[in-house]
This record gives sequence, structure tokens and C-alpha cells, in this order.
Amino acid sequence: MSLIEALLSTAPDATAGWWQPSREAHRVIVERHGLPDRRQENWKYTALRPIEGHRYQAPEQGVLQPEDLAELLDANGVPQLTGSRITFVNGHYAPALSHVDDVAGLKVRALSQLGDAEAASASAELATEFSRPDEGFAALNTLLASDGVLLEFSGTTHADGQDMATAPVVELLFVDVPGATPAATAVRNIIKIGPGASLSLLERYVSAGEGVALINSLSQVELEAKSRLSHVRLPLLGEERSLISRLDVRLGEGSDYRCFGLDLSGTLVRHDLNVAMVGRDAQASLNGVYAPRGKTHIDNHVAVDHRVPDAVSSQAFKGVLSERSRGVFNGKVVVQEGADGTDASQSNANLLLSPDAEIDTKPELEIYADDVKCAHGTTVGALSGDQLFYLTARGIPEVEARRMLTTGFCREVLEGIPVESVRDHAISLLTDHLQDIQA
Amino acid sequence: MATENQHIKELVKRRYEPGFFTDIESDTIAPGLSEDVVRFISEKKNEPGWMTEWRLKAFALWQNMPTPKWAHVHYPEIDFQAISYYSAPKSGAKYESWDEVDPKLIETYDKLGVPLHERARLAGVAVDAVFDSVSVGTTFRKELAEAGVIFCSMSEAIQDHPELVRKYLGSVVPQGDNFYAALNSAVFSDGSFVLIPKGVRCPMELSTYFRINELNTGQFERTLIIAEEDSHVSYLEGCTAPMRDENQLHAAVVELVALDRAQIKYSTVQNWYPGDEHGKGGIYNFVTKRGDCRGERSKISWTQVETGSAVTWKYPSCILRGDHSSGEFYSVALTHNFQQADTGTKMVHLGKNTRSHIISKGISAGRGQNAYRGLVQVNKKADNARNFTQCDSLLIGDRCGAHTFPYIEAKNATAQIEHEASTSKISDDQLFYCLQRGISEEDAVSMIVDGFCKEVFKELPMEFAVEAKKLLEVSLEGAVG
Repeated sequence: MSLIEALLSTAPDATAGWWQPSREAHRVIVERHGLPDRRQENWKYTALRPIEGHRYQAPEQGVLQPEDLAELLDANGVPQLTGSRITFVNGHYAPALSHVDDVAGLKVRALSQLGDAEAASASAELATEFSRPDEGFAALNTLLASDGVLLEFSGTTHADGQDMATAPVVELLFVDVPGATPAATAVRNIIKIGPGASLSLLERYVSAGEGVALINSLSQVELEAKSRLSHVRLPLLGEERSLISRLDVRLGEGSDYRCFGLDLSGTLVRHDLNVAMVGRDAQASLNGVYAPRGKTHIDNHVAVDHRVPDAVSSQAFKGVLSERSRGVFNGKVVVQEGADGTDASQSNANLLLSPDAEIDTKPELEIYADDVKCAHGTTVGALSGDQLFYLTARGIPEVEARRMLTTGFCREVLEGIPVESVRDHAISLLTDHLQDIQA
Repeated sequence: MATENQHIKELVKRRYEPGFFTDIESDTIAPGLSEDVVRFISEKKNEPGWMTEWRLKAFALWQNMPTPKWAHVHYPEIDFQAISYYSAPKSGAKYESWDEVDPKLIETYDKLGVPLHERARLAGVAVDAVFDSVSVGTTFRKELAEAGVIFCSMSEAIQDHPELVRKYLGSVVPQGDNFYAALNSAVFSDGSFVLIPKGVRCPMELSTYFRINELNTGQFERTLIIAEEDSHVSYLEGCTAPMRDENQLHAAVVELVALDRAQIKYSTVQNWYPGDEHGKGGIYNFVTKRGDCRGERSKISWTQVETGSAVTWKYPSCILRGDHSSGEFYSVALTHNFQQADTGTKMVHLGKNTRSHIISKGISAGRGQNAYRGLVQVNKKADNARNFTQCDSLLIGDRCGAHTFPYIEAKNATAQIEHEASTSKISDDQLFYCLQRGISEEDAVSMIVDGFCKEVFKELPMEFAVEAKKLLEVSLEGAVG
């Protein structure tokens, strides 16, 4: 059974009527294009082989009790966060594991529970057509998604200069509990931040138990004028879990989007982060750390599309690659005709710690306007001998010195996370992970 | 507004100086490509059987290849059956002495400023001139022969040094390497052949001048340069074509082989006809250039100034096979009007302690589209490989485009790779500074562009550097405003 056949067999039997037309449209697209392969430029360095060869099935629903979840989060070192939490287990909304704080203007619902009338506010996103041959997983997501969140926030206008740290926090938690057979789930999220509102979003994936699972996640985020969103993504994946995620963000005038990703584990992890600047003076800061080990393959594809003048974007991605792992980074900036005053920067730095690790990186620029400031820098190297010498000469054991340098190399990327508890959590995850890497 | 009008006038006035056509009788076969045409070319050149077979194998491979579409360039599909694959001046391709050369040919090259005759002596550069499909003359043979250097046309090399040609031809760019290399392997008409023997430092610069003249012809030349152990050579290449409304195809292959401690420096000033200001006509320049640093401590350096062609698509590359070998790539690519360029380099690190250095400067003006596409690949056994890449783009005008597609693949933990790129326009501050000092806008732009390209120009041999600078000025005329 091919991968696509296996995945198609997980299609939900019955879905809401309002979702049906776009599902059917995407079934046609999926049948036409299938899944992407390495002949497509965007998949040049990522083969699907690691996730092939499994008879995926849609996993059972509702297999997690609240106390199990508490235990699971505890085991993963997740601290208790204040704020709302929406939990999905195996791709289905778990009301017993969720709570939404009483925050003015915050409206959180599961897609599966939307009535026909409420569905209108999600219909445009769900009808988005993913018809390019290299977006097979996005098309599949529309066809297969079992659930997801519709999050709308039209909270009070933030005062200028107000710290993002004080914005309300919402956590989206995706737990996967595979059974005896390999599990495939798909979730779809729609997030809308109203004019002038500020929100902190934590998107987290946690694996329970052993087993093969493939998660297909697609989120569409809309930031209206002058709104702000900080978005932290922490996939804490088990060894045999794979994640194919896509995040499409549209930035309205004067809005501010900050994204932080931390990828440490899994079999195959692929992120497509597409940011469209559709309003003037918008700002996007896209950050990521990847530190795969074992045979983990982590691929970050970032594309920023500057369609209007005077928007600012920055990309900062750092990778530490050890053992037999492989990292891929593709950062793309497109400055469309007329998008003058654009300021776009990209940086990607990589540390190769093992003779068997590999990094493939491609920072692309496509520029069709002349009054722009665009720069990118990429480096690949080992730990600097000078720096090691400096530390060891001061009596720090070499193992410790390597750890310090490796951690220092990438933790700065996470230091911009506005919410302190989330920041500390992310940094401690990274530090613990790097502790036992054989540098 | 007044100055703008002035600039528009200049733009219209702008002339492609080498765009004349030489009315010379020539032997041109009917358009079309088939096995018979390949055999015809081979026969016409009186080639031995193995060469014919080699070409036919390439043709067979080519027939099964799809036309590549991945480059960031757009052009109507090429009808390969509408091109004539062989054209030569009628008076014969072989000349015993310069007096036999058709004066019209010498005049052509004089007009182009290529020293073929007495002037060559003054300039001190040995030239091989290729007119449409054939080499029309190579200068300084005697002097070179005394040093042991072989510098002749490819056709002659096939006759006189078949063992060398058989050994090296296709050893860097095999017949089936890519679509245009396969096409070239099947139908190449001529080109230059150079062998620098062990320990010899070539006593003078070698140079080839390519000229497309006939209508509806394609030019497919093949250059092969072999530098034996401890030798050194600097090679220059220039190209022009008449102005025509039709697009013409130029698909060359250049192979360089550097053995132990040998050094090859290959410089190109490419000025094929770029088409007119409406994007009509111009050359499609689809070239495969690759150097193989086969020996330890060998070095290959590519320098290119690309101002011509409607569409340029080339990646002069280095295979760094020998330990301690190094590769360099210095490039200035300018696109104006409707020109498109997708150019860059590949540095493939295979040996230990190999180094590569890439400096690429792209200038886009008018509606020109300029893309840098590069690959730096450090393979598993290439311990301590080192790469530095810098690619800068300069935009002049708001309808042009500058693009960067650098591929970096590192499979060795001791690799050290750095890549940086920037894109900007000529800043108002810089212009203001110059204007305030009484420098005209046009001169100011030309100065700034010259400064932008300096790192590359300084790598060019002197006489080429002057030409390149002038070429850039002419090509940019009317771009400001």
C-alpha cells in the first residue's frame, strides 16, 4: 500500500455538511498530484521514505483521562502555565482536558462543533485551495482533518509599548496516543487576531506511549491591523512520530508577528512557514532552533512574501546537528514589485557535531523592487577551536566547555520569547536535550 | 522630467557596437537535426570513426532528455529543428598563412578590436578566432610551440593529437551531463584545444574570440584545456554576434583539467547581442563550463563579466578532487532591458583541505532579471573544506529583479562554510555626495557600479579589465533616471 493510499484510508466517515464541498474539491487535487517527491524543488532534500511503509489508520478517540494527561505533561517537564488550554487527543477535541479562561473577546471553539451558521467565519480558510503539486500534504489536510481549533480574539486594544508578556496566553495542545497500529491524524487550525489585540499562543505536541504516528497539521493565522501575536511551537515528539506542519500567516497593517520554533526529536519533521505581508508597516520575526540527533530529519521551509511597502521581516534559524541526523533549511524572501521600503533579513547558522550529520541550507532572495534592504547570511561549521581553548584554559572540562558553547550558540534565538514561563520552559528543554549530546 | 526624456533618448540611441553583420560567403547546412546531420558534421571535419561514434552516442542521449525548465528565466520554447548546425566561411577553414585569410574576416575582428594580425604581436596575446562554426586562425603558434604549448582549434587537435582528445574529451563534462551539453557533444563544430605540458608556465595569455555571424545558426563550440603538473595558464574568451530580431542559440561546453599543482585561470567577457530595448532578438547563451582540479594543490579560477545575451544560463564550476586544491569564481553579471541571467557556480569539495571562494556581483537595470544560483557541496571525505561566498545585487530601477538561490550541502563536520548576500539600490546618499561635487548623474552611477564590481575586475587580466569596464558603462547607458 502506498503512503497516499494508506493516508486516504484514514478519511473521516462523516463530516459537517459545510466542510464537505472543500473536502471533495481537495480529493480531486490529491488524486491529481499525489504527495510531493524529491523532484519538486521544495522537497529536494526531504524524501518521504522514513514515513512510508506503514499501514496508517485513524486512531481511536478519547483514550486519555485528565490524570493521564497531567502525568504525561509532568513526564515531559511541562510546567503549569496560567491561561487557557485547548486539548486535542489523536486529532479530536477533548473538552474534559480543556479550559478557556474568561477573557473578554476570546472565542475558542473546536471546528467539529461548529454549526452551519458559525462555520461562516471559518469557511474562507477551509475553502483555500492548495492546488500546487508540492502542497499535497496541505490538500490532504483539508480532505482528512478530523478537527482543530477556531480561535478568534478581539481583545482590548493594547496600549502602545505595552509588553507582549502581559498578553493573554492560550495553549493548543495536541496529544497523540497511538494504538497497536500506526496512526495518522490531521488537524486544522484557524486563528484570527482582531484589530489592536495582543495574544500569546503556545502550540505544543506531546506524544504518549510508543508507536508510529504521523501528524499533519495546518494552521491559518490572520493578524488584523495593529494586532500582535507571539507564537511558540514546541513539538515534543516521540522517536517514531513524524510531523508535517504548515503555517500560513497573513499580516495586516502595522501588525506584529513573532514565531519561535524548537525542534528536537521525531522521525521526520517538516515545517512550512508561509508569511504574507499584506498590510504596510507589518513586522514578522521568525525564529527557530533545530537540534536533531539519532536519525531525526528536520526540515524548515520559511517563505516570506512582501507584497506591500514598508514591511519588516527577519528570520533567525540555528541548527545543531549530531549523530546521524539531517537538517534542512530553506529560507525564502520574495519582494514583489512595488513593495518598496522592505527590510528583510535572514540568517541561518549551523553546527555540525558529527561526521555523519548533514545540513542542506538554501537562503533564497527573489526581489522585484529596488528600494529595499535585503541581506542574508549562512554559516556551517564545527565548534571553534579558539573558543574551546579559551574555556579549557580556564579549567573548564572539555565536555562541559562543548556543552556551554553549543547551548550558547542556539539559546539566544529563544530568548526573545515574550512570556517568561514559556521562555524558561523552551530554554530548559533545549539545555536538557543538549546535555547528553556527544559533542 | 527633462533629464528623463534625455535618458530615454539615449536609451533609444544606445547601440550594440559589435552588432554588424559580415557579408561573407559561407557554407551553411539546411536547418534541422538528425543522426545524418551529426554524421555530416563529423564527415565534413574529416573526423576519425571514434569521434563520430562519440557524437552519435551523445545525440542518442540527447534525444531522450527533457528540456530543462528549472532556471529562473522565461523564453519561448526553442525549435531545435529550425537551427542550422553548421556554418563556415566558404573560403575554407584552413589557412597556411595570414595572407590567405579572407580580408573581410580580418576586418571583422579588427572592428571588434580582436588582435589577429600584426596587432597581435603588439598586444602579446595568442588568439584563436572562431567564426560561426569554425576556427579561422590561431596566432603565435610558433612561439607557443617552442614552449611546448599546444594551442589549436579542436578540429586540428582531433587530427593531430587524437590520443589527448580521446583521453580528456568528456572527462569533465560527459556527453549525457545535461541537455545542452549533450546537444553540444553531438554537434559541436569547433573550439579551442590547449595543453600546457609539465612545468611550463605559458609564456603569454591565450585567448579565443567567438563570433556568430550567419542567420539561423547556432554556435556550439567545445573548449578543452589541460594543464599538466606544475603548469600555469591564463585563458581569455570573448564573444559577439550581429544584431538580429531572431534569437540565436549558443550552447558551448568548456572543460578544464588541472593536474598536480597546475593552475588555470579562465576569464570571459561575454557580450553576445542582448536583444533590443523591447526584448526582441538576442542570443540564448546556455553554456556548461566545468573545471576539474584533478591533482593535488591544483587551482582553477573562473572570472566572468556577463553583459550580453538575451538569456544567460551558465554555472562555471569546480570539482575540487585533489587534496589542497582550490577553486575560485568571480562574476559580474549585468542585465538591462529585457535581459535575463541565471548564473553562478558549483563548488564540489571532494578532496581534503580544499578551498573555494565565490564573489558574485549582479546588476539589474530596466526590466532585467538577474539570478545567482550556486552550489557549495562538501562531501563526506572532504575534511577541512573551506568556502566563502559573497553575492551582492545592485538594483537600478523599480521594474528589474535580483534573485539569489544558494544551495549549501554539508556532509562533513569539519567543513567551514560562510555565505553572505545583500541586495540594495544605489543609495540616494551616495548619489547626492557625487552630484554635490559636480559629477554628473551618469558618471556618478558609473563610478558607483565600478566600485561595486571592483573585486571582480581586479581578477581580470589588464586588457580585459579595461574592456569590461567600458562594456559595463555602455550597457548601463540610459539605465538611470
